[in-house]
Amino acid sequence: MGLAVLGSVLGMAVTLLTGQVVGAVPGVIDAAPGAMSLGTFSWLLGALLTVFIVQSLTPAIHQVASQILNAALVREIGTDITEPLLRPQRVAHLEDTEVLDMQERAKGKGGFHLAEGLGNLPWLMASRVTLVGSAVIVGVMFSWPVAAMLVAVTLLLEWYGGRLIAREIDVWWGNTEEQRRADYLFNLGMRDAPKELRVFGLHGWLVDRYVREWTAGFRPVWERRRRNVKWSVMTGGLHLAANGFAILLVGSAALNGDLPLTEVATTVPAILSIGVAMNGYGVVQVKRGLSAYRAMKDLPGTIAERHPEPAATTRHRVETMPAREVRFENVSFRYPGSDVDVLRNLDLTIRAHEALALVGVNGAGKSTLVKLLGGAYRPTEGRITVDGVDLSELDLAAWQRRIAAIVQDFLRFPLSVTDNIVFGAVERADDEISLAKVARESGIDDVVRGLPAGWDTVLDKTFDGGVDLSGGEWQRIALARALFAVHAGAGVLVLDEPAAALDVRAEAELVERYLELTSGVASLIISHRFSVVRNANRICVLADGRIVEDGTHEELLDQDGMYAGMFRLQAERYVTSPESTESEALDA
Amino acid sequence: MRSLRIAWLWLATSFRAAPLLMAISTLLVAARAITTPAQTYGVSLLVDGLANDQSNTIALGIGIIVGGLAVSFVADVVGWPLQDTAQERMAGRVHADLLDVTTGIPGLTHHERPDIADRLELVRERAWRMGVGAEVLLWAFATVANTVTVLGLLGSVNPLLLLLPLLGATRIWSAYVSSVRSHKAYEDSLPQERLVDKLIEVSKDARTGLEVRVFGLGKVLLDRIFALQTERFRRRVEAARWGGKVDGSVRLAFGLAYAVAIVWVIARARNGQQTAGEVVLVLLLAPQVDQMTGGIARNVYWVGEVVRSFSRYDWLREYAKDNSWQTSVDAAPARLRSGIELRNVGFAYPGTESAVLSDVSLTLPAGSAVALVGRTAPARRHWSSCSRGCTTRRAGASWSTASTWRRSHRTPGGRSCRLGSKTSSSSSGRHGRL
Repeated sequence: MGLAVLGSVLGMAVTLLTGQVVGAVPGVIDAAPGAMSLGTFSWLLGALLTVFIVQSLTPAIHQVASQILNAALVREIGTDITEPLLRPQRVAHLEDTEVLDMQERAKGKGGFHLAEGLGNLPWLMASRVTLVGSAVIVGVMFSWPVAAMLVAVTLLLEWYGGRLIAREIDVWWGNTEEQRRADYLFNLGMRDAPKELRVFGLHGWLVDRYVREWTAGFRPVWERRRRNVKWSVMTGGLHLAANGFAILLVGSAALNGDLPLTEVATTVPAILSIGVAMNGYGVVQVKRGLSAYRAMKDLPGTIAERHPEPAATTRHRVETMPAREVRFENVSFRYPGSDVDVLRNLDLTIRAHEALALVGVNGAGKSTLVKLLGGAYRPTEGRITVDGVDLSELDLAAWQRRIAAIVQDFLRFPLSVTDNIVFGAVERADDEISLAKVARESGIDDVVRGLPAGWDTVLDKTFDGGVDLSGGEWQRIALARALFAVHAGAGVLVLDEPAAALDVRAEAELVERYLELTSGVASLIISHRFSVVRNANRICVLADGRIVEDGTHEELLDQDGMYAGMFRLQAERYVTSPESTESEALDA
Repeated sequence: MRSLRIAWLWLATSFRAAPLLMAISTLLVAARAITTPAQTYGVSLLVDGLANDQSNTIALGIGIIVGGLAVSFVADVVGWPLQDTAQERMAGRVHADLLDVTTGIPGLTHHERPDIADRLELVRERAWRMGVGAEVLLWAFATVANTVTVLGLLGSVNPLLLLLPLLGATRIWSAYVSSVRSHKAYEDSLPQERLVDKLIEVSKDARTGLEVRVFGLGKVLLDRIFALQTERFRRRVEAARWGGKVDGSVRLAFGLAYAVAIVWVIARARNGQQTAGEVVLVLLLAPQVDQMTGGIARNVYWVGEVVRSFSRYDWLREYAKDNSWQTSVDAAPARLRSGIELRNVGFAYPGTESAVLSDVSLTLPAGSAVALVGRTAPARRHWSSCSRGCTTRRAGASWSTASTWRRSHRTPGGRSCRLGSKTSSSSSGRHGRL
């Protein structure tokens, strides 16, 4: 910032010295009597040239300084807008639109990044210095009223211009919806859906639709701009009149011989530089930068206020829990902002070292139960106890580390295979024996062998040397990650639909190994596929927000209730089709 | 020949997007570009007039200065909005054209064959660079006008002074290499930026919130983000420092040379070979020559980028022309009568060696539902893309590629064919429950 100010001070020095030199030039050239002595003139000229050279160097220095400033700001912002989101142990704040909006504002949309905004600050300062300095020159050399008028008109125009720009940008921001839609269509044609577009003959439709969405997005911007022009003409006219008037005044004074050459040669460039010293764009950018900065500063406070976290207590030894059991006692739950109970007076016990399976129709609340178990949400009513201690009294962070989980939308990091797995327990990242073991157990070792860079392959095609995995392969990665956490000591293993994307063969392997994989920990497996759950020590059926059946596979079949009904419906399809195909093959 | 075609494509696309806006903008930017040097000329007239006490010259000088103000007023007030709008229209036009050309290609090779797909992906990613084409074009017009005026003024004082802009060319070079370097540093760090963005998205996604917490990944994510940002920071600062050094030293040399020129002109003026006004002109033109060369330098990079983008676009157009399947002109039947037949079909992806299908013969009768079954993916997927050439949208036969027996079983009254990994064993037969 100092540099920018220095730059504009130098600029004014150049104006001033140039004026002096120019004023002296005719006298010196003609060696007129009474003119400046050659010695003095040389000093003056020398000073001017030195300042000129220094001034022409400043942009290079400034460039470096501003790039470094920008890079440094970008570096800080990345963590500053993320850390507050990761700090709470619960997750309700991630579904709070106010928090998300604030984070989005801090991050900056459409190029109005905090760093860009603040990067404009030095320029704005520089143009302010130029404005004041040039005005002083005009005042001293020519006339203070003229200087004051020019400054007033310039500031007025800057304020007004800034408002116009801000309004245009606001309209632009408001329309990101159409822009996003147009972008989506563009990518659809260029990358995402080549087959479907051709099969359904959507070529013409797509292009038309793109143009329509795109135009719809920009029409309000153009509309606003057209309206702005009218005002710009008026204010610009005022600006022109003020500057023209000032120059004409100087000119007539010069014609009448009232103003000596030095003053004329200094004043005219000074007037011209007041005229261009307005920086409406800079003002708007700095304002936006500051509002992003404010959002960033307020983010942690807002999250803490809207979603208070329980104070962590250390009275209990979480590290060995659960030694006996985890109990859901009369638990009811509804999501924040919803008025439908997902779970209603639910009682469930998960015993340590037991493989428990949970089944139920879609939307029965199975995944919600997992979130409550992990402390991501608090029950609306009732309580969850671990070895008899209420979950809300435990150190939540420590309890969460006791759990290893595959959730339905599990993490897919565009990082190496190794990273994706050892992230299950980062503190044990160097444990290659466990890594090899879980790779074998999850069946990922075959996949890794086929990858171009083996364990170091990045799992995202958009990065250099990266590849995309299939859904089933990803699911094995997620399984490996959870198993890695179990090897590192997690006491509860949660598998939410671990077989959803696996093919028949991989699913069969998982079923075979399931009990072996989960031995020694309390495990909770959730699946639509009955083949996966039937080996569990105990199966619970979740319906209408509570547990309606509870027992082993055989017991539940004997009860002939909901489980038996669902099992038969699915088993029928598995059992009959291979048989009938075989008989059919015989026929053929 | 090709470069002419690319230049024409650039020019034509810009003007076609918004002909009137572009024409007016061109005039305005050119007028705006000569304003500043013209005003300098006005000041020099003013000085001459005052020195020699000629009121006509003084009035002319003042007239030029005020006239310059008026021109920049029009250019600023009307020019910027017009230019912005032209620019946006151009961006929209370019995207629509690209979409039109790409989706108009009947085949799929450009999406599936890796080398061509990569080029297409580059076109898609950098489409916005063509979008700024209109702006860069206008800027080029302005530069030409500005350069000609400045050179003319300098030359009018003394042709030897034209050596100065020549020296300025080294500044163009230095600024160009440093901007290329910093752009490259920026682009090299783009994958890191994308990764940072993805990690930030993971951190704020409620769906993965629980998983991040049970695995204790909060700190890991922050550390990764910080490490990646630091790496970006390092690259960019390094490039900025390097560019600053190169640019700074060239600027120093240029400044010194200009200082010498000013002294030289003053010396000549003392000998009566040059007027006072001309000395002033040279003095005042100094910062403009500086800005001119700096401006050219900054934008040479963008001209290069726009040309590169348009050359990729040109490639795409040529590719589309060569792959437009002009030979297949028969209209597709509105209804299937007998069915679709594959006779000894073999297929390997363009650019690959191994056959995915070989010697497949199969009949898909009209009005029947056919299921296709096989072991995991590859062969089945190719199967349906390969038949796309022959199926029509209203094909009477529907067929599905089912991933398990369970679903194929549910195709009532249909046939099922097993597809081996490469060759079809075509053991099709009537299904049980007819």
